[in-house]
Amino acid sequence: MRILRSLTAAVAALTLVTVSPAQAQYATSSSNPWAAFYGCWAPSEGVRGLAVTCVLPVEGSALAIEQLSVVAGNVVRSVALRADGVRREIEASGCEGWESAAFSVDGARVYTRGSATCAEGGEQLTSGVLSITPEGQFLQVAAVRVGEQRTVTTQRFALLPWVQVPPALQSRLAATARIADGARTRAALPVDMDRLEDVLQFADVKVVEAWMAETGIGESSFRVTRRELERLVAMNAPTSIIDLSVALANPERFAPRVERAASGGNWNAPIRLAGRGADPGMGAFCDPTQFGMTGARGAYPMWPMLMYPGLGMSAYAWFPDCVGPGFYSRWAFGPYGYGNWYGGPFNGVPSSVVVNVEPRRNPPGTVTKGRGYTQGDNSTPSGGSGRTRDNSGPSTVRASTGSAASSSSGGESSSGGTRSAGSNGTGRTAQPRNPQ
Amino acid sequence: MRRSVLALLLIALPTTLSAQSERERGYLFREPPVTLTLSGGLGLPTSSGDLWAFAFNELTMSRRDIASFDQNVDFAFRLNERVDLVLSYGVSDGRTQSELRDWLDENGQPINQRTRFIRRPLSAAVRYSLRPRGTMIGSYAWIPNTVVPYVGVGAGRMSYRFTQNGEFVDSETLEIFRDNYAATGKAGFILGSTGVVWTLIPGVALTTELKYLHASADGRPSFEGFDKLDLSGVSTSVGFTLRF
Repeated sequence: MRILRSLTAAVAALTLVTVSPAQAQYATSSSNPWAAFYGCWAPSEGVRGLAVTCVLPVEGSALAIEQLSVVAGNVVRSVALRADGVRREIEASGCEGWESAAFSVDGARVYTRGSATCAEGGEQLTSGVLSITPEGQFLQVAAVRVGEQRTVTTQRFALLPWVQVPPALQSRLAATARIADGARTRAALPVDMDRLEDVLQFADVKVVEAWMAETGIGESSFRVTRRELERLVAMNAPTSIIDLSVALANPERFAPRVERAASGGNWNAPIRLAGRGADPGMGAFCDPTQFGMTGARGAYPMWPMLMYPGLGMSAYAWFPDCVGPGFYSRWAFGPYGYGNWYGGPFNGVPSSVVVNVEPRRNPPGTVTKGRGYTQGDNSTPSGGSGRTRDNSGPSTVRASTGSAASSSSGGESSSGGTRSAGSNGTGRTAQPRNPQ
Repeated sequence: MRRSVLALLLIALPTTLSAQSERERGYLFREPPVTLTLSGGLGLPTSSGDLWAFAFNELTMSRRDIASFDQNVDFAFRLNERVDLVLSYGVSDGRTQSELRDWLDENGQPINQRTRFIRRPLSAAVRYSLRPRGTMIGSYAWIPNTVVPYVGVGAGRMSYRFTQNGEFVDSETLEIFRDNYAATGKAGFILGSTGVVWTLIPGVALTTELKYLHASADGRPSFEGFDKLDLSGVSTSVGFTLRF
C-alpha cells in the first residue's frame, strides 16, 4: 500500500513537472473559445473610427483566429494567431525567440508569453492578458521586460456596431455573431479571487496589476477575505497584488488608480515605467521622440511594425519608453502603426500604465441635490487617457439642475458632470447628445 | 465607574456593530495602534498581616468574604510588534457583613458590622505578547492572530479605603457602641499580569487576564499599632478589547 502511495505521488509530481502551465490551461471546455472576441473593435480611447482591428474565426480551428487591421475599410494587416499553448519559434528583424498563448481554464481570458533576444540588447520578455471587461470591451494588457526595466501597456477596444463593420468582413462574422454576443456576456467578468489567482499564475505581475485595476476599479463585487489573502501569501503573490486586492475590495478606504502615460498627446511628459517607483531606473525621463519619426508625424513616436502574414509571424515595435528596441508580440492587437499614421497621433496607441494604491484621503464623491454626478477627489493628477466611468470607487450621483452640462447644451437638462482633477479621468469632454 | 463603563460601551458599540463587514473580511487595514479593553472579574485580596488577622479573628468574616467584583479599563498603546504600554484604571470593591465572633447582646442577638474594602488602582504597565499580535499582509491588511498570550509588569498608585462600621464592643467596658473605623489614603504598587487575547472578529477580542498587585499602607487614621495594611490581591478578569 505504501509503495502504491509513493508511486502515485511520484507520478503526480512528474506530471506537475512535465506539463507546462500554458499547456495545463489549454483544455478549455468551450468549442468556440474565441467567440467573445469575434468582431471588429475600435480603440475606446483617442480618435476613433478610422482604424479598427477585427477578430475573425478560422474555419476548422477553434483555437485559431485571424486578426485583421482595417484602415478606412481596407485590410492592411493580417495575422493568424493560435491560442493552443504551444511555443512557436519566431525569428525576425535580427531577433529570435518564441511565443505562446493559451486560454484560461474558464475560457474567458487568453494569456500570452514570449521571449526574444535581439542582436542589440538583451532578452526581452513579454507577457499579456486578453480579456473582456465587465463593460464588454476588449481589454489587452501587455508587459515587456528588458533586464530590470518593465513597461506595461493597456488598451481597450469597443465593439464596432455592425453597420460600421466593413462589408467585406460582415459575411465572415455573421455566422458567429449570435454566439459571439452570448460569449461576450459570459466573458464580461470583473476580477474575482479565482480569476486573480489564475491570472497570477500565468502572467507577469505588472500585467496582473494592470488587469486587476482595469477590470476591478469601479466594480463593487470584488471581495477579499482573510483566508484569500493568506492564500495569496501562500502563492508568493507580491505585495503590490495583495495591496491592490485589498484596495479593490475596500473602495471606501482606498483609491486605486491607473496612471497613464500616453495622455492627451503629450508624449513629452515623462513616461514612468511600470512599478511603484522603487525599481532601479524608474525615474528615467525618456524622450520618446528619439524613437519617433520626424517629418509628417512631427515629434510623435512611430511604431514601426514588421508584418508577416500567416501563422508563426511576428511583429516588432519600438517602444517609446527607453527600454530600447522593444519586442512586441504579434499578439498585440490593434492597428498600432496604422493608427498613428492614419488616425491621429494616439489613435490605437496603448497607454503605458502604472497602478497606484493610496488610502483614500478624501471621501468618495458625494451626492448633492442640484449638482449632478461628482467623482471622489483622489488628489493626484492622472495621466489623463482613461475611461469614461468613475474609477475611484463608489460613485455618487447628484440630482442635476444642469450646471456644466446644461450650459453647454443650450439649456437642455441632463446629468451634469463635474470632475475633480485628480480622479481617474478620461481626458475627454462630454458633449450634448443632440447639439443644436 | 459604572457610568464611565457604560459611556465607554456606548462609544464602542457602533464600532462593534459596524464590524459586520469586518467580520466577513477578516482583517483590518492596519495594525491598531491603540486598543481599549473593558473588563470585569473577581478580585481576591491576599489579606495578610496583623490588621487583617485581627479582623478575621474578631469578626465572622474571612478572606473570601471580601472578594470583590472588579471593573477595569485598559488603554494599550502599541510600542512595537509585541510590546504595548498599557494604562489602566480599575475599581475593586469588596464588602461583607459580619458579627462579632465572641459576643452577643443582652438578648442573645449578634452584634453586626459591615466591612468594605475599596481599591482604585491607576497603573502603567508594559505588556509583552508571547506571539505577534497579528500579521501584516501587504501594506494594507492586518490579520490578527486568534490567540495571543501575554505577560506584563507595571507599577502605579492606588487610592484605597478600608472601612468597618456598625456595632462593636468596647474591650474594656464591654459596652456595645456604634462607630466607624477607616484606613484610607493612597499607596504605590507594583503589578504582574498574564493573559490571553482571543480575537473574535478583527476589531474585537475577548481578553482574559490574571493579575497580581502588590501594595501595602498603614492603617491610619483608625488602625494604630498594626503592621501595614495589606492592599495586595489577585484578580481575574474577562473583557472585550476593541481595536482602533
